[in-house]
Amino acid sequence: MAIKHQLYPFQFHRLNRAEVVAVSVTGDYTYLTQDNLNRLIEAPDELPMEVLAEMHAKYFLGREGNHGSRRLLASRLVTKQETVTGGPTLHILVPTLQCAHTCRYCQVSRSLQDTGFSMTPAQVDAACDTIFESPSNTLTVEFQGGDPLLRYDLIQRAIERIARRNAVEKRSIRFVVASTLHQLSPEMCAYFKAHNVYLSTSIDGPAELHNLNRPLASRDAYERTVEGIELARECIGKDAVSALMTTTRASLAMPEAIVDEYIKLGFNEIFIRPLSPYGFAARNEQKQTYSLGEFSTFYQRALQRVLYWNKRQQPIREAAAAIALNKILSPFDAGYVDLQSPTGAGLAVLVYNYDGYVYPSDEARMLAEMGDTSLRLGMIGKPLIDLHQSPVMHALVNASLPTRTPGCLDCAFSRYCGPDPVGAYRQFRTMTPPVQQTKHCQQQTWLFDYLFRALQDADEAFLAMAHRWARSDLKEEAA
Amino acid sequence: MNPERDIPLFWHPLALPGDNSPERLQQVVQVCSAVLNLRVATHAEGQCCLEVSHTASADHQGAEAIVKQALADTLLRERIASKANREVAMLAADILTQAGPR
Repeated sequence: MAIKHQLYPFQFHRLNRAEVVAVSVTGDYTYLTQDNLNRLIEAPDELPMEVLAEMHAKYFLGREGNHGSRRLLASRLVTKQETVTGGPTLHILVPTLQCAHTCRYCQVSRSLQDTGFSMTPAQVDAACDTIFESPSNTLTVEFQGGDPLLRYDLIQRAIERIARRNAVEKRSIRFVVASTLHQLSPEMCAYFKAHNVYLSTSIDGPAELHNLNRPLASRDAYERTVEGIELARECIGKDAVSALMTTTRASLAMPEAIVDEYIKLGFNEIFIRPLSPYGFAARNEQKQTYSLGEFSTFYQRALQRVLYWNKRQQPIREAAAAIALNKILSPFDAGYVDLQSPTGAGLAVLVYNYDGYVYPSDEARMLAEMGDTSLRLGMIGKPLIDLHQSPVMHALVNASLPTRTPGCLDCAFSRYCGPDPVGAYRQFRTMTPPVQQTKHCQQQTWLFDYLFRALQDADEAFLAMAHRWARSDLKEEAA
Repeated sequence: MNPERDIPLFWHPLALPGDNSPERLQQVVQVCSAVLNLRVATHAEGQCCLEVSHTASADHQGAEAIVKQALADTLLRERIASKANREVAMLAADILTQAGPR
């Protein structure tokens, strides 16, 4: 008896006149010629046998009455959503806005004063208690600022309160302190080692670039951060610190030097990120911003340099590509909050800010620094369920469902992505503008297009590396 | 300097086969908005035409071909939507929606 094929929903993205990449409802992908695309839609029986088998294996086609396959499909879909359904896993505490830097692109804003710019001890306690209202068994508690080490006392208070509670709760909890590391001392390192605290810092590239981007009166921001990195590695361990970079206009000319700097400093991961137009970066937008075309040229050169080092047995992973490759190649989502659907803002991450309010994302609290507090979920101390039932949270979810977003309905990458309602709101003062006009959509569409072309042309070495990068635990070593 | 902002916009008429009613042209603008910078212009005689801007990702010569391809792809997507199994589509939408706060 002839098999009756059922066409399952899928989307495609055109690579050229004769070829597309098609993505099934489960996120599996395949490259199809125009002829095979037409056959898949109109006459699957006419597909070559190996293509037909692939279409079934990747959920482009199903068989009538095959309930086992349908259950497997549902399981794949649920697995991809686990990072959003499991409750907030990333809890960001902003104990203070104090910071000594005057970064020209600071996305947050800063203050040198303490009064009115730091959390009260009661707010720290209340935030820690809310963290345990998340049903997630795996939690990351990250301290940001300002420079949170300027209020080390509040970090200690939070860590100790959480540790006491966790003696009963037995959750898997990871602490991260995001800091310039300028204030880091051997005593702090000993404390962090004892409490499994990781450090995250910023390195924008070679000293001259870093010091240009992050001015201090003493003009030694780079040197002091590198001293902090060395101290942390010596006292806590070689993997104690990770680093992030921000791309400014000045960065655009030196992608290779930036990657080389990460190699020189012994990092096995670099995250090539565009500038987020918040805080001082927004006020300096005319001077600081660049087009997607300029950034993509910069990114490609940087990625080539990363590949260059990998070929020379110097493993280093580029995080933006790794996140996208995880979406494309792995059935398990790494949970990167900016590419969740519905949005990770509020569902996967919560920010407890120094101003006493809870925000759905770092970007939302940055907007508050710019005078727009409309994305507040509620005051610190409010039960998690109330924060999640807030009108802002509902608006965020409704604005981030591809099934309700016209531009996403036809997008082949919507299985890996989702609208960014906070970014859209910043850009257009509405969470639901035409999605293709948002920077988030343009940036991600470009990156997925670029990676699918790279995967299509890839040799075995690149494919093997792509699969290593795609593993869901992005904190694993890069090799 | 913001390069995108500082490049002046020049709009050029784009030939489109078939129906050139304002409604259809507006549809074309929506369909192609991800790949081309298009707008519907009304000339003094009251006629509508499609215009492409020089900041578009493709050059002017390629723009017409891109519009035609995008329209053909839209028809294919409509075919997929009409033929694809509705239960699977609803299952996917349900699982996605359930991820919101309850």
